[in-house]
Amino acid sequence: MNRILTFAFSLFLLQPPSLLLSQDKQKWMTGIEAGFDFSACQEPGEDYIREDRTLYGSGNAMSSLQALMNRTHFGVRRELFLKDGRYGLSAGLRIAKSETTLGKNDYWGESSQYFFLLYKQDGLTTSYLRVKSMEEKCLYLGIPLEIRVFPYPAEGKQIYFKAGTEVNFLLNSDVHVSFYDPGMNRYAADTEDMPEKPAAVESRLYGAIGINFPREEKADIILELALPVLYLTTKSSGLADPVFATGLNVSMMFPF
Amino acid sequence: MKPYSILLTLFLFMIPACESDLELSESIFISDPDYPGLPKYTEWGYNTFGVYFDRKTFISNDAEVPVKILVENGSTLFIFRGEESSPDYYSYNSGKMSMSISIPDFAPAQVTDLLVLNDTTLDLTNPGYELTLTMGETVYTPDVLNGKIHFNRVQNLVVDDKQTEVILSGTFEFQVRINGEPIAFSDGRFDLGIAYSNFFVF
Repeated sequence: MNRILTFAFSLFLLQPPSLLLSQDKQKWMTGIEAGFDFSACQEPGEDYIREDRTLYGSGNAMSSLQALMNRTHFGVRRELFLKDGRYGLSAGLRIAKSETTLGKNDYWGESSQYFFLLYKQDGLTTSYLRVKSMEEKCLYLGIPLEIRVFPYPAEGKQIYFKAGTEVNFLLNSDVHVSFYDPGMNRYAADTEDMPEKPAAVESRLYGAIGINFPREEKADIILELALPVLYLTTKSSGLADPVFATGLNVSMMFPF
Repeated sequence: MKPYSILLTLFLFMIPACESDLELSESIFISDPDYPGLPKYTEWGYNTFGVYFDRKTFISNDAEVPVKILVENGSTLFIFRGEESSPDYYSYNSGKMSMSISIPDFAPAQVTDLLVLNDTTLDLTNPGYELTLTMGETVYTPDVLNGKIHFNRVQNLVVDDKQTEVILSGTFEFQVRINGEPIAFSDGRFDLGIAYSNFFVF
């Protein structure tokens, strides 16, 4: 008897959600999305970079070196709405490009500041190179899996909450070093190999809040604020360790 | 006006060289988690030193040049300048303190001659050596019971293909007797950049 009940329960689990919840109206939507996010990174502690700290009166020191990561993505996704549109389950494909920049505090502008990079140690001679910034660019193919919850009845604009996770596969990465002395550009090939390669697979967990703008006979427009985005894996970048991110996402969804 | 134009132009060309020297001459104090109050042992030329004595610390600071080397009459004098502090808390009323070690029969003519000290240990009980301690306004020339200074690594530093300074990194410890009172200086470490600004030959 137990084996029969177990087998029946297994068959029940194998049924698609549409049959399990067959009393509810379901709707498929397909769409495109694009977005960006900024990540706060931990203080870089690479063993080939000379520390640079500003000492304050209390005896505390803060590193002048900072790393900032930003990411842009675009993709397609398909969403299934359940329970009369109260829940949306989606999966998709994303192409994402991330850029991590390591430099002194004011590296965004044309800064004359630099940090010292340990180029090589040969016997009793040690060589440093003065570097304005190091930039790493990565290209990912990602698979996001998300669930949206619409807690309020559908009357025009709808606010929703989202939880999601994504797995990103590294397609390509590249490092560029900007030297303070352009004459040192001949060392570019050697120095650009110094940072560790980013991990081949990266995973992130995120929450979001958004507004859905449904339109008659047209695509729904969706605006979304992602907060926070947490990194589940390490070594997303060879230059710094991102801690968390926040960003914006825009989508257009068509009934299909 | 012409001489002034030439001087101004020369001055402007000097600025990049001055900027590089200034960056490397700054002190970067990274606390050692295993030895509270002391800087971490490093070999980057962070211009720091520190040592424990009688539950206090003698450490470098941002106000004083941490080391000066004077070569005169066939001897070399290493002068370490810093402050007396506590390993447990940051003190706003730290007293000035300095330590000098005179080494006879060693007279480097230029900074790069210091490279011979690489992986060298000097016995501070050597009769020719003289150790002097200055605490506040008082100068002591104690009896050295035992002690050594070890230059773990001495490096010739090249920045953007230009010889810039020599980095002295190492450890030291010694026991002395001052006015009959024995005092131990332990777990000492230094990581110092030596260049035109702190190397003197008389």
